[in-house]
Formats: sequence, structure tokens, C-alpha cells
Amino acid sequence: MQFSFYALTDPGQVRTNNEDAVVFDEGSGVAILADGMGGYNAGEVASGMAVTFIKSELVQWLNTANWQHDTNLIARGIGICIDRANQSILNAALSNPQYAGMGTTVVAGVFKNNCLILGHVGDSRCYRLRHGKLTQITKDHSLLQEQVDAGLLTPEQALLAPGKNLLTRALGVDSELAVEIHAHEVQDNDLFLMCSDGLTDMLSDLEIASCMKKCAHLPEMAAELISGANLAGGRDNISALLAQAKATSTKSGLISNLFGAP
Amino acid sequence: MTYKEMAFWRSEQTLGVFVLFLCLALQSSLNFFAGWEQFFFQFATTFSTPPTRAFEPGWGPGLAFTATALAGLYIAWVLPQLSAGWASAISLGLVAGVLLLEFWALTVLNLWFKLVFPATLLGLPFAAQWLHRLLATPLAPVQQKLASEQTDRMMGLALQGQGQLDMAFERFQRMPMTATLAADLYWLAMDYERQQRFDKARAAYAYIGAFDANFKDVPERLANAAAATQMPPASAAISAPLDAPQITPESGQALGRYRIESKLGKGAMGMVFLAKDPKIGRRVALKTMALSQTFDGLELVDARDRFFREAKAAGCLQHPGIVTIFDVGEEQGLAYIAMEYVTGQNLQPHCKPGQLMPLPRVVSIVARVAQALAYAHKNKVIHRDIKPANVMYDLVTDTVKVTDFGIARITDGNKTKTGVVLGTPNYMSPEQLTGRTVDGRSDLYALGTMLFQLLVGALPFKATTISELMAKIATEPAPDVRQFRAEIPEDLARIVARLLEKSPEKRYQHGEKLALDLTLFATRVQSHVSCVGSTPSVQVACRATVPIDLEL
Repeated sequence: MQFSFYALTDPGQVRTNNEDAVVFDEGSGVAILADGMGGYNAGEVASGMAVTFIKSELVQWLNTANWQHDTNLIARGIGICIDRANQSILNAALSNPQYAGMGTTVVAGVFKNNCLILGHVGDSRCYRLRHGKLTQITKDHSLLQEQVDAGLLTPEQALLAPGKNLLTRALGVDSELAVEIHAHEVQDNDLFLMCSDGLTDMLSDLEIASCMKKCAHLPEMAAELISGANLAGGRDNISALLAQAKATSTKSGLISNLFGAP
Repeated sequence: MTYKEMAFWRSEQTLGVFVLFLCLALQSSLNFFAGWEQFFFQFATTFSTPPTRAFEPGWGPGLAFTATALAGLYIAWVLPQLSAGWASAISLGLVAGVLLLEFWALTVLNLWFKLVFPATLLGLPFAAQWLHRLLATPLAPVQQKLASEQTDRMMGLALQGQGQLDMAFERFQRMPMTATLAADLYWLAMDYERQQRFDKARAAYAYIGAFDANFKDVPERLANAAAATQMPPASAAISAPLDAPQITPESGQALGRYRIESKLGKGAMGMVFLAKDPKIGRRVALKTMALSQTFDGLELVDARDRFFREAKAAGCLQHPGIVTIFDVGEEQGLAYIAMEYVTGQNLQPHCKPGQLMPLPRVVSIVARVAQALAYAHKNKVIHRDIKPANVMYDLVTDTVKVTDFGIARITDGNKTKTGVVLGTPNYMSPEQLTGRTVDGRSDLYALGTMLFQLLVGALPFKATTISELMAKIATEPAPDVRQFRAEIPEDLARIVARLLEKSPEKRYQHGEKLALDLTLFATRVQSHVSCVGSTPSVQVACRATVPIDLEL
């Protein structure tokens, strides 16, 4: 399986700064998105630290180890990297008082062969588009989601409920961090979307699906999603990270190279 | 990727424009392509050796029309099936072939077939693909560049967080110097000082000094670090505590009219300091909240409003069982509340088995909290966050003070991202969890949970996940305290059960009634103790009543 990636982030219509951070490494199949909080630069710093640190550690690890095909080990690696990022953010906030109270969500995925190993903390999400059907494959760590799980609110009520963005987990809050990690099977033509709540608060799952289906090129798709969220109000920073799976192509001859698609 | 899957082909706008262009082209082919055709004719005929007399045969227009139709069919049906590479190659080949055919006919047969238009049609998708690629690409590099500039700074901070200061310093030095970076370096240098590595601290201060010689207190710090470097290691170690910032940089500073003396602890949204009001010499606890760091733009205005409104509501409360609020203010984006400085500790340590307080003391504390709540509810202030951590108790003076009135509300129930991360909703009432309106009886539910915990050292509901916990709080009847600790008298168990009722209507409706029941219970137990008084737990209980007697 081959994976191509594209990421786009936008401050939105209301905020002046962008506290989202996205990063990917196509060679190692690593993609990370984080949504920081803590106002002005602190949120930016938390999310920036998370994506930079996790990417650097994870890529280094994946490249040196020869167990790359072991899903369980990769999952453990993701957990350890996110945990260390959490410690880093906590300690950096202690050392640098101007960043006190910073925190961030994170979604980190490793795409390997027919598998996506996905770890997440907080309310940034990952979706999968398969055969035209969009499925959310992460579950928010938010009070609201917990209320829905507990059967106290229906998903319909949840859409209107206040306190939407109160998180139950985040990086930079406590030295004990529970990271949720799952492995997902990947099929040919699967399309994965990681996004911050700036996108999901503005667009419904149906709207997101239609934006994605409208375009075939990742850059266009990302632009479409972001402009869609901006048109709907753009009240928070908006980020979209797309990953497309393609069965490794057999015909890649001279002609394709000469005139071939990018 | 086949041609059909390429973005420009799918996207409806491009297709629409293409069709429109096709129609217009057909429409104007007589004028425009006639001119083009004429040009090709001129060009080709210069190659024929005898001066040409090429003419269009009667079946010429028919042939041209067929060629156009075939080109259209090719674009609509054949092209989408091909891979991108083949599509480009075949299209270009067809364009060249058709033009060569016309050229050959003109020069050799002296016949003129007007094929330039179908040839152009065949070449259009190819041109569109390249045009699209040219226009679409410039997005990515800008993103990439922005990211790489931040990478070193973020990695530096992360390494600093890992305690790898040298690697962090090295990362910071790779970047162009800015004021932001100077601030990051300043704290890195402080970390060096804390580790008593004054040579490194000096290097970092010098690095900042080269950018801005008067950045914060860099000159003095540089001098200090330089002096420390000269000293032999042993004395450097001794001087370190003086040099290294022991408390936060804000100590000794003023906030509003208050002079900060020391740090007391960390609150939900910021630090809590012990401070002094120089005007009247009163000691206060100064609770700070970095509103401007947590909120932004309109939210900030809203949050500030709410902060002052809530502080005002809580400020109306004058009760011996409630921490008094003296003053609120805001300076440099830091909002603060000056409140009564309370000695003692909160009740959290007494919620664990083995550290439980004697039963009469628990009852007496909870009764006083209930009185304080009754007073607050009468003044239309709901606490919303009653828990052991918010009740201060001083064993020496036997005083109970409820703190954080109304402040909890600032973090609760607002629609925007606050960055506040909730803990486990152990003390939330069923109606609070189900999103219904909350009144004083929710506070009483929370107080019930706290009483339960203080009595048995465990929470009424236990679960492995938050959602399971919330479901239990909302639906499952609370267990009897006596299941956990059999010697608890039935009267008290009934009071706890009544506080933990799911429906607010079935609970105590007012704090006073609860306080009364608890006090009645306490007197009954005391008389009971004086009669029997033998089991170890009761002995402790007797001792606990001593301070109260002294007070009387």
C-alpha cells in the first residue's frame, strides 16, 4: 500500500492566531495533528511542540527499528512518544512561566502496509472515507462524548449541548496520561482525514463527506474542507490532514514518468 | 491513477467550462478556426513545389465534421479510461497525426481538409491538465517553509522539557533571533542556573544580550552568572540557592495594590499567592487567573464579564463558614481575586482509608458546610463545585471555610474552548450530568458525596471509565454507607442516602434542615458515647470533641 499525504491549516474567521499544528512524514507514513489551547502563543507552542516532538521521535524510531511490521510494537511506540511529549509540555510549562497552563490535543497515526495505527488524546478526530461512506474512527475525549456514551444525552441533543469543548484528557495537564490507541485495517482507495474541532464544529459529517467526494485531488479536498468551515463561520482554527491509500501500482512505465500524474 | 480520477476532470467547474468552450468553439469555428485553418493552409502550401491550387473537395466538410465528432467521442469515452500517462501520449499523438494528415493532403494531394479544429479539440484536455498542474502546485511549499522555521523552536522547547538543556540550546541557536526566541532562551538560561551550570547560563544570557542588551534583567543575570563561573565549584554550589529563582518570578512583585509574598499553590486556572495589602497590612490569598491566556477576542470580553459578575455575587457572601472575598481586579491580562487567607488544609487528605477523621468531627464539619450553603443559597449563589478540595479545615482553631464560591462557574458551561480540562465528575449531581437546571440541591448532592467519602474513604460510585461513572451517577441507586463501614449509625446512613437521592425533590431541600439533622445526630452520639464509650473509634471521637469544648 502506498500513502500520499496533504495537510492544510487555517486560522479561521474569528481568531487571529493559529493554535493548530499539522505535520506528516511521507517516507515513514507518519501523520500528526494537534490542537493547542492556553491562549495566545502558549497554545501554539503546545501543539507545535507535540507535533514536532512526536514526529521526530516516531520517525527516528520507525527508521531504526526492524520490527516495523509489528502492529503492537508500533502502537506501543506511539503511546510512548505521546507520553514523552506530554512530559515535555508539562516541564516546559514549568520552566517557561509564559507558557503556564498550555495544553493540546493530539491525533497521531502511523500508516504501514495494510494498517493504520492511530493514537489520540482529546477531541481532534480521525475519519475514514471508504466506498463513499464517512466513518469517525476516533472517539472524542470530551465531557459531551462521555455524556453520550453514558446514555445521558442522545447524539442529537449533544449537537446542541453547551460545554462542547470541555476535554476529559489532554497533553500538558497531568503527568499521568491515558492515550487511546487502536489499529485499523486499510483498504485500497481508503481516504483518511485528521481534523481539529474547528472543522467538525462547523461542518456536519455529511457535509465533510460531500466536500471530500467532490474532489479527487488531496490539495483540492483540503482546500474545500477549510473553505467550507470558513463559510460556516470559521469560529476556531481549522486543520485538515488527508492521507490516501493506493495499492502499490504495477504500471509505472516511461510514459507515466514523462507525462504522468503528479 | 486513471485520467478520470484526476481532479480537474472530476471537478464540475472545469468540466462546465470545457463544455462551454466546446459550444463556443463550434459556434465560432467558422470565423476563428477559419482564420487558423487559413494560417495552416498558408504555412503548408509554402512547402508544395508547384504553386498550390489546393481546394476543398465537396466531401471535405463532411470529413471535417466526422473528425470533430470522433474527437468528441474520444474525449468523452476513451480518455477517461486511460491512465494519465497514456492519455497524454495518445492525445499528443492524435493531434500530431491529424495535423500531419492535413499537411500531407495539402502538399501532396492538393486537397484541403479543414482538420485544425478537431486537432485542437484533441489537444485541449492535455493543455488543461498542464495548466491545472501549474496553477495548483504553489500552495504546498509555503506551508512547508513556515513549518520548518518553527521546528527548531518547538523541538528546542520539547528537549528543554525533557531536561536536555544542551540540545535545546543548540536547537535555539539554529534559528534567527527574535524577541520570542529571546524569551524562550531566557527561561532556558534560568533552567541552567537551577542546575548550577553557570557557564552555560552565562553563554545563554550572552546570546540574548547580543540580540537585545537590555532584555528583561539579562545584564544583572549575566554578571551574576559570570561571577558564579569564576568561583570554585564548591562555593558556586553554596551561592546557588541565592542565585537560582526559588519561587516564581512574580514574588516580590505587585499585583494591583497587593504585594506578593509567596506562592501558596496552583489553582484551577492559575497560581494562588500569599500577598499583603500594604494599606491596611492585611494578609490575603491572591488567586490569579490568566484570562487573556485562556480566552481570546470576544470570548475574553465575555469571560471577563462573567468573572467579575461571579466574583461580585460571591463577594456579597459574608458568613463565618465561607472564605470572604475582599477585592477583585485585573492587571496585565491577569485577573485576580483577593480573599481571606485561611490557615489549615482542605479535606482531600481525609478522604482516604486510614486517614479518616473521627465520625463526630466529620459530622460537625459537614453540618457547618451545610449552614454555609444554606446561607449562600438564600442569597441566590450556587457553589457548583462542592468537593473536599474546596472545604478548608483548620484543626487547631476548628474552623471550616468553604472556598471557591461561584468561581467554578467561570469554567463551567461555557460554549467555547477554555482549555480547562475536567477531572472525573465524581461530585456532579444527576441533574447536572443530564444537562438539566442546577440549583442549591445539586450542591447538597455534592455535599452528600463528600460526606460519604469522609465517612468511609471511598466514593459512592466507582467505575473504570468516565462514561460508566456518569451512567451510574445518573441511574444507579447509591449504596448504603454501612456496606462500607458497618458501625455507622442508621440515622446517619439515612441522612447520607437522602442526600444522594437521584431526584432533587427527594433530597433535603435546604441546607438548614440538613445542618439541624446532623447536629441532632451529633448530640445523640455524644450522649451515647458518654454512656458506653468503649470501642477504639469512639475513643478517638471523644478526643475530637475536645477543641469544641475548649472553644465553649
